[in-house]
Amino acid sequence: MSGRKYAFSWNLLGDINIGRPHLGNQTRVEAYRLMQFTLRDVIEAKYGTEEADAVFYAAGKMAGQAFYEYYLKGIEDVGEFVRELQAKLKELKIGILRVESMSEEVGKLVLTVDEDLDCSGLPEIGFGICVYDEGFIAGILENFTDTPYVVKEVDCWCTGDRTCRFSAVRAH
Amino acid sequence: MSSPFRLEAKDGLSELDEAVEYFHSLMFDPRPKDRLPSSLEGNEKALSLENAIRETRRVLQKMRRGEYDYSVSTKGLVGGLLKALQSNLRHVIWTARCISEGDLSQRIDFMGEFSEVFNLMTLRLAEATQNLKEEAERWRLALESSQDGVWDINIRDLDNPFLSHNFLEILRTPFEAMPPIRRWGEFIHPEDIEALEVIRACLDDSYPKSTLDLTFRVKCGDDVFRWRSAKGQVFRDEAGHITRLIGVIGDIHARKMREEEISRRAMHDALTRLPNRELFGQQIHRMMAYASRTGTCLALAMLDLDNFKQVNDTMGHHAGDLLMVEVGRRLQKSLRQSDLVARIGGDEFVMLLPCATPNHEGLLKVMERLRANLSRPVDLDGTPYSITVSIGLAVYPCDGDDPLTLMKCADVAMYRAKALGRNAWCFWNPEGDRKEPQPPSQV
Ligand SMILES: [Zn+2]
Repeated sequence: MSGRKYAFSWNLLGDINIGRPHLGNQTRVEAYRLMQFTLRDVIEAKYGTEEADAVFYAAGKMAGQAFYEYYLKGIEDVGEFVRELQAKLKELKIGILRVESMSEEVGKLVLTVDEDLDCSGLPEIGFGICVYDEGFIAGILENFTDTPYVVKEVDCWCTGDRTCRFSAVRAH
Repeated sequence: MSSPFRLEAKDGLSELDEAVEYFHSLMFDPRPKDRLPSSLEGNEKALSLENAIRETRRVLQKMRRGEYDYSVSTKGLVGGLLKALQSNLRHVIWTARCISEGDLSQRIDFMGEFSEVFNLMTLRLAEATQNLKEEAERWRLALESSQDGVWDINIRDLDNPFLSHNFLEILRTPFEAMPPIRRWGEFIHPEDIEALEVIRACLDDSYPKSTLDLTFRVKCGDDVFRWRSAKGQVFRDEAGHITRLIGVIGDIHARKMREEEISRRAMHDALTRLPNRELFGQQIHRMMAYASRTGTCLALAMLDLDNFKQVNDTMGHHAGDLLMVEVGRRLQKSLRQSDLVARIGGDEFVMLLPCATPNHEGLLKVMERLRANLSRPVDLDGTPYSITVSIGLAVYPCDGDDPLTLMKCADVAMYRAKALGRNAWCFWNPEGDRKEPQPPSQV
């Protein structure tokens, strides 16, 4: 695809230390959500709900893959992978990752993300909204194992469950 | 007996009171009422509250039993907390399983004091494991750099001893070829009785000591017996039964050989390589004891070269040495395997000849053979030299029953032979020779 204006790369995140000498490398969760939710609103309005979700899943996946490449690449051991992922999600204040279960060879996983950046504290609206997270997790797992995953959010703050639980299954 | 007042009060329960009592019972009673009051039927909130409390009761009871696979349909704070709790507990299980499988890098966050002690425990475990690894490595290096071999035998599992690389090298046997421990005794030299008995006693649980320290010969993988040493510790259970033997095996073969050579030199004449006076002294006791045990005799022949001083004086010490070596060689050649010849002085030899009876005839034959062998001239650096000897004989037990007496008798007999004009032999003659012979110089 030639003529792309916004093709993503990790470099585009910029040098925040230089760029924000006074405000530093922190922002408020409201700012993050404001950006994400307005964007979603516009995309949905323009392209429909399904398309909006697809866009968010794809974006989340791209983020997950980039996140993996930047922070987790080279790790081979599953235990070490989980530990590092937990540490990074905590450091970046994305959420508190718990592994509830993991089958042999990481074929099937149940994860929870507590205090999730996208949805914790939102009003109960009766459906899960963490499509971006689904894509994010899928992207990380896919790059770690080199096989595609189907990730589904089974509990969400927004469905009144107050913790986000994801099931990830390797796709054959 | 119920009072009419109470009855009236019950009858007067309002719908609110009834609802409160129902949910109170649901919350606190072990066996709550099982139906919503009829007044609340169709009330959505009452129904969801009832479900939430019943689900909470069920989940808490499951957790009480240690089961964390419950599903929660209740929404909102309480349901969310139950799920978060479940997620934490299941995560603890997953983490503990990782640790049990050897991944000691896992940690748990955000669970307060539990996280702290769990992580501390895992850290300690990782440290202890690391220390063990380092210690094992140190041992491995120590074992490899030491010449000794290590053995560690569990008495209850004799088929799987630990035998270090050096142990196998020292026995020149690959691990697969090592005989079963019960048969190790068969490879010890049969003369090394102490080692044999200690091995047997250890395996029979009858060894009384807590250490062992042995030297023995063992048949190595190439079927050659070699000297080895073993030092070890014996471990016992509370009942005192031997459970484990652990120690080192060393290669002391070269040292033993050196010691044997030194002792051989101490016991032999450097010139003729025949036994010296020291060894002769030991052997005469042994051979007398044997004769005494078996009711046989032992003849002692004292032999002196005639005119040896002349050889030294006229032909030099080198010629004297050559002569002595040749005489020793010929004497040894003339005797049987069971006989002994020793050089006990400058030109003095002594022979011990076991015989069945004090039969002078038999000994005379030996003397004849001796004389025949000695009569051929000896080549002393190109000069043929003829020698003769004088011999005195005494027989145990008839002539004397202790070494000293026997030697004195033979000595006296030898001087008689010299007095007879040399080149002769004489038996001790109790009539002719004095019973209490004087030292040779005074004869
Ligand atoms: Zn969510």
